[in-house]
Formats: sequence, C-alpha cells, structure tokens
Amino acid sequence: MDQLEEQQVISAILDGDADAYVMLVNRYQQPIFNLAYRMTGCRADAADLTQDAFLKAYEQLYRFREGKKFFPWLYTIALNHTRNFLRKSKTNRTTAIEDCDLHSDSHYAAQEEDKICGRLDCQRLQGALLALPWEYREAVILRYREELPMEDIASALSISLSGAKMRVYRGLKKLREILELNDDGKQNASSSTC
Amino acid sequence: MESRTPLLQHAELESEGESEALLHITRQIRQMPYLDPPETLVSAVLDAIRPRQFPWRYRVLRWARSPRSFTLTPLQVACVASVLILLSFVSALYLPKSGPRQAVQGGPQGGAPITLMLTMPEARSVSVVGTFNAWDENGYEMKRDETKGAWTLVLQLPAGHYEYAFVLDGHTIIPDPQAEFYEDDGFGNQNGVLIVGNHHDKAI
Repeated sequence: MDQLEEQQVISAILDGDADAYVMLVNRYQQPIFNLAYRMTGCRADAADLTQDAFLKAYEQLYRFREGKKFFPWLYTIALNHTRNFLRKSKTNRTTAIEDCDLHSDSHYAAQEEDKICGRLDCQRLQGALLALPWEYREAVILRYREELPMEDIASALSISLSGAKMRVYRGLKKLREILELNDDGKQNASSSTC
Repeated sequence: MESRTPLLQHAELESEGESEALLHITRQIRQMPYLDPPETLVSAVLDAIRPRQFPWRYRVLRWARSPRSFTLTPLQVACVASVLILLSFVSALYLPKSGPRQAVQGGPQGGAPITLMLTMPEARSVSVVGTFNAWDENGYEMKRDETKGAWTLVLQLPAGHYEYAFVLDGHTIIPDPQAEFYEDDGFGNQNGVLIVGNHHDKAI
C-alpha cells in the first residue's frame, strides 16, 4: 500500500467506512506493538498500548493532514501514549516489569525472543534498555531499532534536531554503562560464588 | 536510510575502543527481533471502534476541499452563460465606480458638477438647502472627509442662479462662508449665491 492508497483508505474512513481501518491496523500493528514492547518490556502492556494507540488514531483521524505520511503520525501517537503510561507507572515500574515477566504471556515473548536471538543475548540488552530512563530509551529505540531518520525522531519527540542527536548519543552511552555495570555485577557474583 | 557516521562523530573525543563498543551495541539493537503482535489485536481494535461523525466544522471543510464533478448539457451551459453575462451588465450599470467617495446629488435637470465644501470639523451633520431643492435638506446630506474635517457635496446643477445655505446638526442654518456673493433672505439673514455657468466644474 503506497502513500496514495493509504490516503484513499483514510478518505474512506473519514467518509464513514470504519471497516477500512483494518487495512491500516494490519499494516502497522507490528511496528507499533514492538515499539510498545521495547518501551515497556511487557507483552500484555504492549498489546494494550498498541490497541489504545490505534483507537486514539482513529478518533483523531480527522486531524491528520492530507498529503503527509500516516506512519510517523501514528508513531507519534503511540509514543506519546506509551510515554504517559510509563510516567504513570514510574513509581512502581520495576515491580510492574517483574510482575509482567512472571505473566505467562510475556514469558512466552521472552522465550520467543531467546529462540530468535540465539547467542546474541537479547534479554540482556532488553533488560539494559528497560533500565535506561525512558526519555533516552525511546530515542535509542527509534534510532537503532526502528531506524528512523534523525529528523523524524526530533519530530516524534517534539524536540530540536540537535536535541534529538544529543539524546540518542547520551542514551547510547548510558546504555553501555548499564551493560558494563550488569556484566561487572555478574562477574563479581560468580567470583564471590567461586 | 541515513548514515550512522554523523552520530558517532560525537565520539571523536572518545577512545577508539569506546566508539567500537558503541557501534557494537547499535548493531545488537538492530538485530533485536521483531515480535508478532497478538493475533487478537486487529479484531480487538475493530470491535472497539464504531463509525462516528467527525466534527461538523471538519466535515464542512472536507466537503469544500473535495473536488466535485458536474455534468451540464449544452443548453444548461448556455443558460448559465446568459445569466453570467446579464449579471456582469447589471453590475457594470448599477454598482458604484471605485474611487474617492463623494456625495453627488442631481438638481431638477442635472447639469454641470458643482462641489460645495464647508470646513466645520465640530459639526455632527451638515446638509445643503437652497433654491435648487426647494429648501428641503432631505437627500442633500454632505459627506465628511475625516482627514480634513471638511464636509463636501457634489451637485449636478443646470446653468442658473441659486441661493443656498448649510444646515448644521439639523437645526442651525448658516450661509456658506466661502460664497462669492450673498443675498438677503428677507428675514434678516443672508444666503450664499451660486451662479452656475455652462460646462464648468467648480469648488465653491
């Protein structure tokens, strides 16, 4: 579906054909779900957030400007919604993630990832991403996982281009520190066990 | 896809080892797998939405912006063209021409244009009465020029001899201070005298 077809679908929805929305949901559910999952680390939360993001986008569709790309607009909605969710659950985020990991659904996601990742140790990286403050987390994910151009990241985060670059870079450095800290912790634990 | 190099230019001050470590992390992030969303997600979204009426302002705007196709028969085109031509004639005949606005009044038989002017900024209204309008001020109100505080009225009068005066604020009658001649009105007051020759335009 190219941009023109996408615009036709949007026009049909705005003309009252709500069923046409299925085409947009089918097309974009995976990237939105993965964004939410990388941000929350919880499959159940990610599914809820994805659903909410699509519902919000539908409600606000009349504000979407014709001629623009739909995906960055939807992405911004999903990102804002996820951000609000993280803000609200900031105080008990660690507990929530732990609870979530025990949940069978998310456990399934972790197992799936392990299977796909193989020896790349995705869980270690995902854990480090979740330990990153969410302002940096979203910037790093958008840049390196979703591979968005810096301009789109700046737009999605409502910050300047230089601000986006700085946030991505600092996020990356912090991520490295967390990974090193985790590695040191494991080594210390194993050496003390020995 | 944008090059990754510019971002890592920030790391120029860092050691080569650190840059390599950061690059390694970015590679790892890129290789993180894409998970499939739950199969029920699409149906859950579609169950939750319902056809809705978007705000009326938006609908009007959308309607106005949408291109429309009209089918006309040659006869209809001819009718529309006739109406448009008729309208353009009517507007050319009756609509006021552009230019500075000035009050213009015709005398009993029309004639040469005469501009009467009175500088009286403190007046709220000024009219002209005279022998050309049987001393009836209705329809002979002067227009105020806001910049100069002057009141003007253009009269179309045939050649002749006229007496006239100004009526201030509907009750005070004064003669034109700039009149060339004056005549007694028989009641102790004076009127201005206006002598209109053939084919001239004069401000008095």
